Amino acid sequence: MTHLEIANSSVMAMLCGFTILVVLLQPILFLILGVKRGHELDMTDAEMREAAVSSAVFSILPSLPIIISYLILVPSLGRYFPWLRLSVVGSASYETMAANMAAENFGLESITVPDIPADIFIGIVFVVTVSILGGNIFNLFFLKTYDKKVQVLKGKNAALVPIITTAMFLGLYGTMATPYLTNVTNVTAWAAILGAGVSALIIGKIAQKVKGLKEFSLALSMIVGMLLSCVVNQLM
Amino acid sequence: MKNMTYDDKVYLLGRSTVLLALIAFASVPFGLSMAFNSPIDWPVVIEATLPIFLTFAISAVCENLSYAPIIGPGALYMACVTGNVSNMKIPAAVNAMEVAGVEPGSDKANVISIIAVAASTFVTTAVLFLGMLFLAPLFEPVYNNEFLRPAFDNVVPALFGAILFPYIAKYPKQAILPIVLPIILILIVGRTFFSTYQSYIMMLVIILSGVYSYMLHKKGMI
Repeated sequence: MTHLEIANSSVMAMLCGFTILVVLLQPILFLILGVKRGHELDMTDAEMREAAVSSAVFSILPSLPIIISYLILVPSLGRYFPWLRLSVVGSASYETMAANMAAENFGLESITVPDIPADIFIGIVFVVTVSILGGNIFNLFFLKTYDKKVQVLKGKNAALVPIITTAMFLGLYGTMATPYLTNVTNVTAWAAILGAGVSALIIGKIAQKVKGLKEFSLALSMIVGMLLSCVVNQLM
Repeated sequence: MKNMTYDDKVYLLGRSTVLLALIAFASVPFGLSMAFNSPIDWPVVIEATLPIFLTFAISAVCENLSYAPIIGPGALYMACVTGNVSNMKIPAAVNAMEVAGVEPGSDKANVISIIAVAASTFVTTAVLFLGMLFLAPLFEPVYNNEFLRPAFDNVVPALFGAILFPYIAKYPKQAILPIVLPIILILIVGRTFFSTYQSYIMMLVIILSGVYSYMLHKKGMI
């Protein structure tokens, strides 16, 4: 039995489908808890719906490249495992890297070789699945303790909370944007940053007057930035 | 259950659903091993898992410590199970806070984050499910279209621009250090070092950015 027969088997389909269903329980339960808490805090359904719609619309854009990552992984890992892996923790680059490292450990040249023996393929599935779970294991055991400490700090400095949270957020995205901001050779990325950034400012201004636009501001600005990078690419 | 505080409910729900997810994840290799009657070769598997696990675990912990105060624990439990935290879940949460007009770090902000991350999870899962069923091959020519290709290569920079510019415009004084410091750092240490140790650098920048904003506040400048 070749590894792709296992990977495309109905057992694999069921295991992956079952796992995704279990994973989906979490946002459903949290959504119920969150909406209930929102009502306790005097938030309206409309406010919460806006937040949900805005997030849902925005999330379509970063999901699109993931579909392509799926196509890239299918030839070596079959139809179902990449579906599961990209639906849960991990990323296309992680899956490829972990699968390759595991394959090498098992004495294969890489994950792309044909006819991997069953036991080795299942071993690779194990390695790819487990190696990325550090963050979740941390959350399982330590997030509660850490969050309680954060809450105590927040309680003592209530006036500072929004300022510090904003500062943390700026630090987070300042750091993540830096490799793009400093790469002067990647002009299309620059065009995307500038196009999206400037249109976010403009759409933000217009949204103060036009009701309902604010929800789509992030997604729209990103589309402008992405299209500008296409135009700049053509001009070069 | 009735007498529990909201926070305790979040911890309980978060921990139990994370545990459930971990068990479900593990069921895939174990299920295959049983179904195809093929035992797992433990020494080799552990030898392969450990180094990758440790590499990712250390940076994941740094990231979670940084994310938790921003989006709150409920959203973080969820975000980490489904992944794409920095390029989808956090921006979704922060954008939703902005749309709802709630103060970052507040109780309301945590509720909005939970709703945002849940909505985002449903969308990605649905898109990928459709991708697996039929969408992926249909989308491929669009993705590989010569004119449109840069658009899909630049989703992340576009996201950073759309998220950062309004924040810089709104909080110009607070933004100086967190924007300039990492740029100076990457020029000193080089791109490879920066991207290899980005989680650690991020944590450092976040802490310094917090201290810097605290000082601005103390001096009455913000």
